[in-house]
Amino acid sequence: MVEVTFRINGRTRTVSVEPGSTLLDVIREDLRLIGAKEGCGKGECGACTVILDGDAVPSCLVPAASVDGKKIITIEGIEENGKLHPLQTAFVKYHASQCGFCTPGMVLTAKAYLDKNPNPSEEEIRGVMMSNLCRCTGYEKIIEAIMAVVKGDVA
Amino acid sequence: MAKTIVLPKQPEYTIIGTSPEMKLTKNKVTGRAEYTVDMKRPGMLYARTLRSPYASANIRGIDYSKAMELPGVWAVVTHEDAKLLYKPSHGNAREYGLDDMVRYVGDKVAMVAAETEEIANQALELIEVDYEVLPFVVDMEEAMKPDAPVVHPERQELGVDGNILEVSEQEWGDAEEGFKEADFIIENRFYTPRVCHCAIEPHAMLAEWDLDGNLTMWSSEQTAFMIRDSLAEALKMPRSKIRFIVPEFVGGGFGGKYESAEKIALAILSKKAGRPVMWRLTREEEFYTTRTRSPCIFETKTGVKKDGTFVARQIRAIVDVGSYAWGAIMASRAASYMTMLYKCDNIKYTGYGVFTNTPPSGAMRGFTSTPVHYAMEAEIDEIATAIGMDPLEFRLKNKLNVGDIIPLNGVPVSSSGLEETMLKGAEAIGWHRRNSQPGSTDGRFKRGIGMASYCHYSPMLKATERSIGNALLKSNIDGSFHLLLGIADIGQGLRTIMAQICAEALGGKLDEIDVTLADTSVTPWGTTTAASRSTIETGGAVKEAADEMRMRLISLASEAMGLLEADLEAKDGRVYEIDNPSNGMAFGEILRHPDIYLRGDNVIVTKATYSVPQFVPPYGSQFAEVEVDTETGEVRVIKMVASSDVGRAIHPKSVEGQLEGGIHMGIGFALAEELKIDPETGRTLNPNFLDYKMYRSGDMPELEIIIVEPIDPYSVYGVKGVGEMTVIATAPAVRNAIFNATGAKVFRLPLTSENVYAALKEKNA
Repeated sequence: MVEVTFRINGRTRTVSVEPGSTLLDVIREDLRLIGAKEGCGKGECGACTVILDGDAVPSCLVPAASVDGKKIITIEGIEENGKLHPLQTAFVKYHASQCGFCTPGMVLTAKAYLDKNPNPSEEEIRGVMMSNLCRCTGYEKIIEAIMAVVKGDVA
Repeated sequence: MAKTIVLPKQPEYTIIGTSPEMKLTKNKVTGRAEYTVDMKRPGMLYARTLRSPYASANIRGIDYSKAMELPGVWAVVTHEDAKLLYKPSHGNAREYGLDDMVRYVGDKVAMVAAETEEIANQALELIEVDYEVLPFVVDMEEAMKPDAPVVHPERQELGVDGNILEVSEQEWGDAEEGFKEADFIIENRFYTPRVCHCAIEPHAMLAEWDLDGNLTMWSSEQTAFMIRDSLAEALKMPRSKIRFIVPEFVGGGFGGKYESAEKIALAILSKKAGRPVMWRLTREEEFYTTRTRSPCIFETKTGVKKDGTFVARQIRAIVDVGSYAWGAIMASRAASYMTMLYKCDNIKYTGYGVFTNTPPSGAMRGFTSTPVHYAMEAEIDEIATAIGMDPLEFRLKNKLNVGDIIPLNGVPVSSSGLEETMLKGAEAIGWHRRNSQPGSTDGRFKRGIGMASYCHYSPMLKATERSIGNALLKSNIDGSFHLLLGIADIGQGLRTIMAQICAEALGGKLDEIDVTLADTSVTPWGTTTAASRSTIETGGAVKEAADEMRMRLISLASEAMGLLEADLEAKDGRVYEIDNPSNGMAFGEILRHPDIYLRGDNVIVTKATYSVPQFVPPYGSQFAEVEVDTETGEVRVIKMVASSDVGRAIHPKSVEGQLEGGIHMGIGFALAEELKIDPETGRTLNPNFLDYKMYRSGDMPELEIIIVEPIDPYSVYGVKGVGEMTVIATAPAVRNAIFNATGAKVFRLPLTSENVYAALKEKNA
């Protein structure tokens, strides 16, 4: 067991992790934040995406022991004062979430990118979202929702 | 970005035909949504399944004593605990519990419950299984041969030899005579692959017993009641002692989430362990152990007159049903589609369902319709081109019209937007731009345009015990309502759509209708969320229950207001006088009226049962523009137009979502997806998202969704089933576009560069 201390959603946490356990395990099992989902366990679907020191990463591939001193944002950490993040509002408004299992990962992948690149083209967004699989929507309304945020149609 | 053409709504409706925010969506976007796999129960254990490394073997013995010695292991179940539950029957070989024979690589052998998944995985390695390894067969045509290894030898008890699940022979008219009338006859052979549902949420379930012997199960599932019923039968328990709950959040289904096999094993395991047990699949298991879309071979023969009139159509189909199957419809249903779209007096279909030692088969979005439409609609472009006719004109000439009899069931087409879907779609894609002759443009990169039309079998053509919708509606004293339905929302938004229908019929407020779904101890019986049926069947029941509630409220208001019922109407949560709308009572005021309240009439419960009186055919046409690299065979879909007759869109944005999602699945089937089985070992070769290619956001073409609403007279509000539509004709539309671009005839899906390049080479040979 290794002790790791990190900031998650603005709060400091220390947990003991077993060798081999992943950041996803820590988030879901130790911290009981269930928004990050395991869709494949191999970093291929993006359902477990979190933001680690500013980058969207598949948390199922991140060794838990490696996050000591790092800053993590999960889907539970992007609302402000009880108000949804614009991307969350847009996903609701544009019907971009059907079954919802991929949604937290989609929102965080988009957020990490938009935080650094606030004015991307639709083509860029389609490229960025390649890391996340969705089986329900055909991606149309997901792209539409993200572009609505880019264009400032959703606050 | 998708463009949507939504036709004007009939003005009298204010709630259906609009796209309000979907209920519970905020829970999804904030990570609060609790799916089955997110649940925890006190003392909960974790289960893992031991799976067969062999494609066919008898289990002579299982020794799990070492596994039981591992700290943290609580129980193991094998066929000795569950064997008796296996039931062979004619035309059906579903899994029931655990068996002492394994029939594909990945078949379940035992199940372990332990304190963590890691311990359960370690325990699996300590289980010693004595296998008698048997010869196996993975190729469907090989499996049909008399000396082929037999997948289900126990079926011999029923007098069934060999691997044929079912032979289906259906004929309308006389095909042999019909072909004698033909000016042109073509024959082709098509192959469609095995594909997976790929719901992003892997299967998960949780079983828990109380000490009175009551079982509760939660499961990511497309039906609560049908699984509950099969559990009751298998476990020999009264249905009242099993509570099966589909949680509010299910991460997609697509036909892949309603089977009972491992639920029975898990229930027994939980009882043996004396603790609640959670079970979930890995993605790899999702690929190689859950049901798949059957691979199919279609041998087609089509005869037409010079003017393009169909005179005879014939298909011989072989359907690989894998190791376990759903029964007769898998072999027979494809015939239906030969009768639903085009006029032809002479139609013959022969279908064989064949067992192989490969992953099980089952329903998948566009079940039975998607593979055969590939063959049928490709065949049309072949023969139209052969007689020098525009394929669109050919389809328009032969299509069934309203009032024409559908040979399958002898009933007339009740409504049809088929022609409209063809014409609007052709305009949207720019049909006139297509090559007048296939492959007539020069250059390495060739562009082409193709189309395909479809119909789907939704829901069942006539009422059966499974095609019934039930709805229960209860009033609260404040005039809000609880709607209880036995069906499950699997992510498509059924909860919202049912509330819209309820609010519209009731004259109520949408956000004052609470919907509870798929809990066998709480809701009335409900069927599967499958076959694009929920809005038609259960939606029909919801409307009738809500209509009755409205009439009861009007009746009570008539008493309270001293007015005739005929002078009253309900809207926006109140009953009002038609000639003086400001004179009215809110629903809550009516129910709290002292006379009404004191005699108990404030508690109103209405219940309705509904089945659609006649088949309501969902028609559509899809158009694709492609660019083919003739040097590599690589295909790029530039644009896809899906023009769909949805009857009436209750929630147009979610209808669009269904149609767009269907195209994604259809495009995967067309161009990329195939679960590959190693002929040497029977192993699945590509059980992951790297090797099994699912389209990603940047891979998708431009989509244009066109909604056509002819309003069917038989269904409630004129709705049709939309959940499966666009998966069906995507592949033939793309294939026909490749044909138009290059003249190459591809008969094998998926349309990978390898398969397309082979077809290009054959054309140039």
